[in-house]
Amino acid sequence: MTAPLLVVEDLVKVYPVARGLFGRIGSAVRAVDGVSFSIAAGETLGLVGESGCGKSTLARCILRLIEPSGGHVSFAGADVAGHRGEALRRYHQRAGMVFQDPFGSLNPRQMIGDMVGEPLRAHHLVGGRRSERARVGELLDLVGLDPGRARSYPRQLSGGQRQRVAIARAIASEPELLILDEPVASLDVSVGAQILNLLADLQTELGVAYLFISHNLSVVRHVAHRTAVMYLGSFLESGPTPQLFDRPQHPYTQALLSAVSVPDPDRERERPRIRLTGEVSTSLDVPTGCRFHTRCFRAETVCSECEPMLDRVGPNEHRAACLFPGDRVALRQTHAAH
Amino acid sequence: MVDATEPPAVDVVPATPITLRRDATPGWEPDLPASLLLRRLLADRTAVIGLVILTVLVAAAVLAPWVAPHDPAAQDVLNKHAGPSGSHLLGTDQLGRDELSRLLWGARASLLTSMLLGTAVLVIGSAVGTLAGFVGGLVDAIAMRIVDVMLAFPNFLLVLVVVGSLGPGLFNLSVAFLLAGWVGYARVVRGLVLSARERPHVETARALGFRPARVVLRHVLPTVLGPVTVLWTVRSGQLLLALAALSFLGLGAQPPTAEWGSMLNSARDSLAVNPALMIYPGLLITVAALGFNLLGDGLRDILDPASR
Repeated sequence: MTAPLLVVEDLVKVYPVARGLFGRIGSAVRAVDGVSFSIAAGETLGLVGESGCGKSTLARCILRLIEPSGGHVSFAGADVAGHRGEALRRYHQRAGMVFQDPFGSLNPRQMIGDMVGEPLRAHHLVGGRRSERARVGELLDLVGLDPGRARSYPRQLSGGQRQRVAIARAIASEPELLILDEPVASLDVSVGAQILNLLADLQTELGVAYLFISHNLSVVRHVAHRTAVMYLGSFLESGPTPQLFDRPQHPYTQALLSAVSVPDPDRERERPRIRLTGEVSTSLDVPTGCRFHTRCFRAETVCSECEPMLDRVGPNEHRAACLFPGDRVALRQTHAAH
Repeated sequence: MVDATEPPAVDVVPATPITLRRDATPGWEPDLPASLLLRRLLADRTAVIGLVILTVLVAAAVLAPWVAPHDPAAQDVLNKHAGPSGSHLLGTDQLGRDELSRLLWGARASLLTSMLLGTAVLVIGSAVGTLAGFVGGLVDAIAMRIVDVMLAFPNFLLVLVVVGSLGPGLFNLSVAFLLAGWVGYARVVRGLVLSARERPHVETARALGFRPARVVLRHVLPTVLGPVTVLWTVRSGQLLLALAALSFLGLGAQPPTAEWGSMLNSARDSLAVNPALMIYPGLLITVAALGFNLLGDGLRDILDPASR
């Protein structure tokens, strides 16, 4: 096996809050709390979790758009923490990002062609105006936009078209990794599906790896080779997508999956659901022990004392951070036995 | 069966024409392209009046050497306090100088100086503010503490101190205003840059690996430009008034330089004989300040429909 493209080790991002008069640090938001994972070249890692669990913070820390408080990120074998100036720019040339909001992420004053050509100019990837225009045309074509759109402004495009522009811009510098932060969340379902297909095509064509962030489980199941489930700044479960979705081992993953509706109304009605109780914790006040124990239906006393590690629970690096991992079915049987 | 000839039971309500307002979107809209902004500007009566006033005055100031009928400093003591005539359209002043020529040249000293000064203050203040807001950290802390100290002084006091130590004169007065004036811009621009750098398209530009200079110049500053333009108009108007006031007090333009404020001052002695000498420069100062304010108000309305 070749070395992974991106390796994240024990990444931490802490935001101090309630700073006192003399700079005393009161409490702290642990937005990302010790996350480790890796992505191989050409692979898609899906990252799911509820709002505010630190998905976007994690993404920004990886690209050093915000500085991580601790841990390591290495890209293609090099630690990115030391990158300054030119080295950081070259890193951003090889690892890019597409944001959720296709309305805000495009400069409203820039024409599409200029916008897509800007990374080419900034990274000196084209010789002159003419070759830039040709390459911009190719890129627009590649993302399914009419190259004639080069002279449009973002406000003249639909949401889906704008997201295509954002993607064209992100792939302009031929990156090896793209972080997709909720790329389809603000689009209609049909438009979102087109964008997902486009992303899949681009992956086959260009061999780019994705970190695909979403709160939509169905979308992640569709696109990701592997999936990680994040909760309050930490991974609770990760593994190959089919395995994780078919046999989730962590109660949180099981609860999340039980909330996904099924198209068939009869099956939907009979579908067993897990309803989580308990207060939703915030990353300002992460519970002791297992961070999920306050809402967990399987929690025992020990769960509030011991913090579980992300341990192997199945083949193919299927891992879960739970003291009592197990299938739902098996679990129900054990409960029935009591 | 329904009788076909019977009129419909419900009256057809005459259709009211539905007008689509271009400005129906609420909230601050700094992101419209320049062409649309210009169209809106021309549709705003307040702004157009301000713009026309300023254009006429600036044209007069720029063209003064060519359109002024006389040398503004040429005295004709035998013909002082003359009324309007063919050769002196607005008459002559207490030293027999052509009043119209002096007013035209005075527009350079008053209006052009205040606009240039307003621009210089804007450039310095914006540079400091952008640097502080974008770089942050120690740079920001140091720059903003300097700004705090400067703001703690009453502005006029600062100006008087500088003019007092450099000596009166239009140039020294301008230096004083420059030293005192950039602070306000720095504060405002820093705030605008701080909010602009969190905008998604600015973050995207950073994620694409652009140089900080490119991010600032192409992605941050354009979003800051709108509010700064409004500020420029208002500040230039204030500078015009302040320059005229201090020249009136004898701290600015020195005779024989034609400047509206100092013209007001020298006309004081002959108020009883020839009140027109005070009315002309006074009126011009008022109209020019009005022009700045109208344009500023109009610009603000265009850029921020919520203020309507």
